[in-house]
Amino acid sequence: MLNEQELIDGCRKSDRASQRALYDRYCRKMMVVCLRYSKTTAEAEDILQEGFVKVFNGLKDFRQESKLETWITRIMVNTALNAQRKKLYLYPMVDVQEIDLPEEELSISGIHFTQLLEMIQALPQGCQIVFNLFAIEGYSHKEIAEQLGISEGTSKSQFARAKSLLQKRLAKESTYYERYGEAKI
Amino acid sequence: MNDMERRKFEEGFKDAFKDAEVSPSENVWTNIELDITRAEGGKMKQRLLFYKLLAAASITFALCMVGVDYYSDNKGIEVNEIALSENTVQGRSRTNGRAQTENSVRAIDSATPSVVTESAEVSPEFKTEQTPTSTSPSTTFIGSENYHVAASDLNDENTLPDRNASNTLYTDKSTPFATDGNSNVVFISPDENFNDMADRPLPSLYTSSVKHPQYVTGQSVADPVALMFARLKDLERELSGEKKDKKSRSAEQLWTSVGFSAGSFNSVNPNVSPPSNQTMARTNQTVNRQAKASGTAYSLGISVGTKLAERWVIQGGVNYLTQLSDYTTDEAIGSSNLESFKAASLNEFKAGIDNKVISTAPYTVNTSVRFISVPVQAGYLIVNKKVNVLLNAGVSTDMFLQNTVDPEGNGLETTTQGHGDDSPYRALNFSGLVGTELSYRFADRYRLSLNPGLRYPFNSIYKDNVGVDATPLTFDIGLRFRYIFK
Repeated sequence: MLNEQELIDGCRKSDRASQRALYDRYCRKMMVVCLRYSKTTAEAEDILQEGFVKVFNGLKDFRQESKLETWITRIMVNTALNAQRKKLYLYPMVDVQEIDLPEEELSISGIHFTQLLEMIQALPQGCQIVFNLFAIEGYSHKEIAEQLGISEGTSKSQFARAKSLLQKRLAKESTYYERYGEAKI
Repeated sequence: MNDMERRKFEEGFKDAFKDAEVSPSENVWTNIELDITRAEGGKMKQRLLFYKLLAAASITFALCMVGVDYYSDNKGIEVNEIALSENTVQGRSRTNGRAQTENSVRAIDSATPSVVTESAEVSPEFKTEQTPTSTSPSTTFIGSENYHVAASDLNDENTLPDRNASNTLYTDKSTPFATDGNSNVVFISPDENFNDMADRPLPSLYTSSVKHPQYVTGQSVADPVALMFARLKDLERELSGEKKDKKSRSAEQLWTSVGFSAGSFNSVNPNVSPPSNQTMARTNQTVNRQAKASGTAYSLGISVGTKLAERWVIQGGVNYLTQLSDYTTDEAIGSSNLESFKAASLNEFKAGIDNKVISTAPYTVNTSVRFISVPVQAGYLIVNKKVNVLLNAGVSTDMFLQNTVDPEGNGLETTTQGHGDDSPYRALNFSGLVGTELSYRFADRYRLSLNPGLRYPFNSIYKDNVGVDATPLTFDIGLRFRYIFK
C-alpha cells in the first residue's frame, strides 16, 4: 500500500493508478462532507467529482503544510460552497427573529450519523451551510460571514435557527424512541 | 442552556461525522477519470498546437525564402536585360546614329540600382584637355547612388573623357555619347557638329537623369558608358560565379541520409464496438482505455533520395518506429489454473477464452508497439539554395513487428504480442505522410535537416474482427544527416 507521500508524488506525475488509489482512500470520507452540504446524493456526487478533479489538478501546488486529508476536505467544502452560492443568491440569507432554544440540551449520542445527515440535509439552504461551517468545520461567524458575503449577525442568526430546527427534530426523534422503546437505527 | 452545553451539542455533531464514511457510486470515478483525461487531452492539444505553430512558422519561413529567391531571380533578369541593351547601344549608335539610339538611351537611363562597381575601365580613346581637379581623389557618382567609380581608377588622364569647358558638354568624336551641363547623357551622331549640338535644346527622349550634380559641376568626370561597360564586365563575372554555384547546387542529384525523429501521437476518434461476449463485456473499459491511449513516438532510419527534376525530388527509406503509451486498468488476466497473471490488454483478451479476468487494484500498463516503416515521399523544393526548403508528401508501408505489454503491478508478467492469426494487430498498415524539410548544406557533400511531419494511418492498426478502431495521428520532428553522392 502506498504511503501518503508516494500517493502525492504519483498523482503529481499524473499516474492514473496513484490517482485512483488516492481517490479510493479519501472518497468515502469526502462523500460525507459533500452530503452535508447538499440535499441529494446525486448533488453530493457532482460536488465530489468536481472536488477530486480540483484535487488532482491542484496537487502540484500542495505545499504539504497541512495534512492531505485536511487539504482535500477544504477543497470539497469550497467546491460545495461554490455550488451552493447560486442558490444562496436566489434565496438570500436574512436575519431571523430571536430564536427560543429549548431549555434542555438534547443529546445526540447514540444517533447514527446517517440520521444526523438526514436532519442536516432537511435544514433550509442557508441554515445548512452555516451550521456545517460553524459546528462541524469549526469556522467562526466572522469567517463564515466573509466567505458567504453576509453579515456576522446573519451568520449567527442562521446558525441559531439551524440549531433550533435540529433540536426540535431531535426532540421529536427522542419522543419516538421513548414511545416505541427501540432505536430507530 | 449554557455555553458548555451548547458546545457539547456542536461537538456531538462533529464527533458523529468524524469517522463517517459513505461510498459514492462507481460512476463518480469514471467521470473524474474522463475529466482528467479531457484535461490531459487539452494539454496534448496545446502541445499539438505548438507543433502546428512550428510547422506554420516553417512554412512561413519557406514562403519568405521563396519570395527572396524570386526577387533575386528577377533582379538577375533585369541585369541581363541591361547588358543586352548596352550591346544594342554599341551596335546601333555607331551605325545608325541618333535616330536609332532611343532604346539604348533608355537602357542607360534605367536606374540600375543594383549595378555597383569597385573598379571601372574607361576607354583609352577618351582624353581630357584640362582640369587637374578632374583627377580629384574623391569618388564620382554616376547615374545613381549605387553606381560609383573609385577615384583611383580615374586618376589616369588617359582614362578621362574629353571635356569642353565652355559649355560643360563632354564628348568624344569616336563615340556618340556626351553629357551636358544639366547632368544629362546625350547621344551625338558622329556626323553632327558638336558645337551645333550644344547650341540647341536637348530633346527629352535623349536625356538621362544623372542625380549627382557633382558629375557635372564637380571637378572629376568619368564617361558613363565606359563605366557601364566596366560594370557589366563585373556583373558578367558575378553571374558566371553564380552560375557555377547554381550548377554545384543542382549537381545535388543523389544522396543518402540517416536520422531519428521524436514526437507524440494520439488516437483520432477511437472506436470500440459494444461488447460481443462476456469477456469483452467485462473488459470493454480496459480495451477502450488502451485504444484511446496517447503517447510518444520515436523512429530511427535511413533514406535515399534523388532529384527527378530541377525542383522535384523523391525519397524513400526504412525506419524502425516505436510508439510508447500507457493506460490504467483494474483488471488482470489469470491463466486457467490461476498460476500466472498478465496485464489486461487487448492482446490477452483476443488470445484465449480460457483466461480468467480478475479484479485488482488499479495499475498502469505500458505498451510499446513497434513497426518497420518503409516511406516513399515526393517533394517539391520551394527553396533550393544553401538552405533548402522541401515540401514532402507520400505514403508509408508499416509492417507490424510486436507489441510489448509491461504492467507496473507486482506479480504480473510482461508479454509480447507479435503478428499472426492470433494477433489483434494488422501485419501491414498504410499511412499517409506530410511534412516539410528544412536543410542546411554545411559542407560540399553534407546537409543537416530538420523534418517536422505528420503521419496518419489510412486504416485502424487493429484487425477488423477485433472491433476496435484506432488510428494514431503522429506528429514528430526529425533530425537527418545527409551525405550527397553527386
